[in-house]
Amino acid sequence: MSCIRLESVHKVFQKDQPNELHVLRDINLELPPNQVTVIRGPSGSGKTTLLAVLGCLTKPNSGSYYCLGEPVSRWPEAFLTVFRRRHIGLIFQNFNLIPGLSVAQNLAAPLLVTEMKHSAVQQRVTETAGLVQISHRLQAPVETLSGGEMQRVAIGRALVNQPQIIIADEPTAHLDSALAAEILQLFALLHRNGNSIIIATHDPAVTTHLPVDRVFTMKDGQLSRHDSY
Amino acid sequence: MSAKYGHILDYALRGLYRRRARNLSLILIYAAVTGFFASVILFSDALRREARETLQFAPALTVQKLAGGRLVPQTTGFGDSLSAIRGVRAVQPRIWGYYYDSPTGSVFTLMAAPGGTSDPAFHPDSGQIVCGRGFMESHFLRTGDPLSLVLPQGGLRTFVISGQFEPVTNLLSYDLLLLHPAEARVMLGLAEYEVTDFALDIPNPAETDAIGLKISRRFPGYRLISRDQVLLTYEALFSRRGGLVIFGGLLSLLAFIVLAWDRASGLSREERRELGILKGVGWGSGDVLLLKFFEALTIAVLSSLLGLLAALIHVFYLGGTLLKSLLSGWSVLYPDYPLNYNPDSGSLLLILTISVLPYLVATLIPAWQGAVTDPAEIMQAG
Repeated sequence: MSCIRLESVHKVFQKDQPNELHVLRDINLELPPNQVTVIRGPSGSGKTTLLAVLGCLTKPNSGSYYCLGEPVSRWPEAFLTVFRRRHIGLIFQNFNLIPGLSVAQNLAAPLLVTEMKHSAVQQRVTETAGLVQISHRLQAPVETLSGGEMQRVAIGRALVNQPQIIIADEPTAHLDSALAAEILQLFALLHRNGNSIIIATHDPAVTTHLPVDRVFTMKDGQLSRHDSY
Repeated sequence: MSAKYGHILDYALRGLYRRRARNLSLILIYAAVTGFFASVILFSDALRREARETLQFAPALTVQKLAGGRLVPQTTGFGDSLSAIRGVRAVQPRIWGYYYDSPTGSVFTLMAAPGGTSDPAFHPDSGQIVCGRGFMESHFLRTGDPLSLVLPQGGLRTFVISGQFEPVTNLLSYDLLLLHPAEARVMLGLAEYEVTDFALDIPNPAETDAIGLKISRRFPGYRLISRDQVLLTYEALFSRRGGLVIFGGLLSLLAFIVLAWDRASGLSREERRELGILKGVGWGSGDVLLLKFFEALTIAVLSSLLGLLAALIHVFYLGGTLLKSLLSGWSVLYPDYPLNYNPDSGSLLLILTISVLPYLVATLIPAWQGAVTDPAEIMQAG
């Protein structure tokens, strides 16, 4: 069974309006489980929108999306939310941490809408913080963290629900090369742990630190496969 | 409560604390508006209750003589004519009037000791006076102190204070000065055979109207005041005054709604971003809606309780200082009197309801806007 399968997916913003924007055009994609996939392409090519579709944050206007065998493109938002919470971890550009909250509170955010008891939430947060090596800053407000630490928290938050699929949008964009290497090693660890990883990036360092299985290029809303980076 | 609801409530409270400067100002304004309306309602209620309790002691029917629309004294002999009417058990001549007290700028009720009671507190001897608490406190007097009152024709008459009323209701006795009948006549400028009015004891309340009709036919030119009529007048008067004040307050309510709308409807950019993040990490629209509901409920309940507490203190501890001139004593300068603390639970519930519900409704739309935030937006946020 493929982990992800897109069939003739189109995504159009402001449909039927003068400023209509056709962002994804006839995307076909099939990814087996436990692979590292890299999507590259210039700004505005549609990478982020493709990740939003893959992450069940938005639905395609046409075409089909099967995730872990489920026809998620046909589901209503409420079902997608639950599916995303259980199976997909998202790492956004610019970390997107919630200011004013501590590291622990940011890590716990996805668990607050589950029926997990407070103690279980705390335990999961502690375990995840250990995995992403941020245990020493658990009570620190996220505003006080360095860029590398913020990215660790963002990755931890994506992992805290123990999803099968990790989707990351430019995870090294705001980090220097040393920090980027550390973060990519973390992704390598997740891959070894069995996660499927999809990364949109411009950073060539990704292929040197990660065992990338597939590389795709987005251009003008269309996706093409490359055998090497 | 499910663990999920507990987590969301906890998150909502932390969120309010994070934005405490903004929320505190909202709560203070909200509480002030609630406090104002609660004060009006509690004050009106307390006045109506005082009036009802006072009227328990009022005669079933009072007969007063009018000349040119003003009250004039009657002769004591007229009481015999009233006694002869079937259904009247007793007729009590009453001697009373007002005493303007220039040091306090207040008008006190001056009355002769009524007959028909054996309570010595109601029977000051000649040269003695029994005072209400309002008079005693405003003049820093104690029982046994001498008290000089100004006679109608000038000059002073000195009495010894023989007692102080322990009020059943403050409205009844707070401003009362009780004298021996002969001295009350002197103080009020009445002749020896004159009284102010007559109080009729009618054992069967159902006969009151019929007896009143009989008197008005037999003795035209007399004004008849029944206990029920006074009660209705008080109810209507205080309710109407309460209504007027509330109407006047609508402007401030409107201002508050505009402010609340601005605060509640304008999801700030940071809040919108936060909701986007939450949705991105797996919160559903229902979860976000619940979060915003918990926030709104906390603000509304906290503000309303604060406002209600302020109103209770204002009305029952500070004596309704800010409303007294609006809601009581428009034409006569009565002395201040405290209201008995006995708020009606129905009124308290009404205040909380009308204070909490509008805010919750006002925040529904912005809450919904937050709930349907497109989680994909957060992917685009650079």
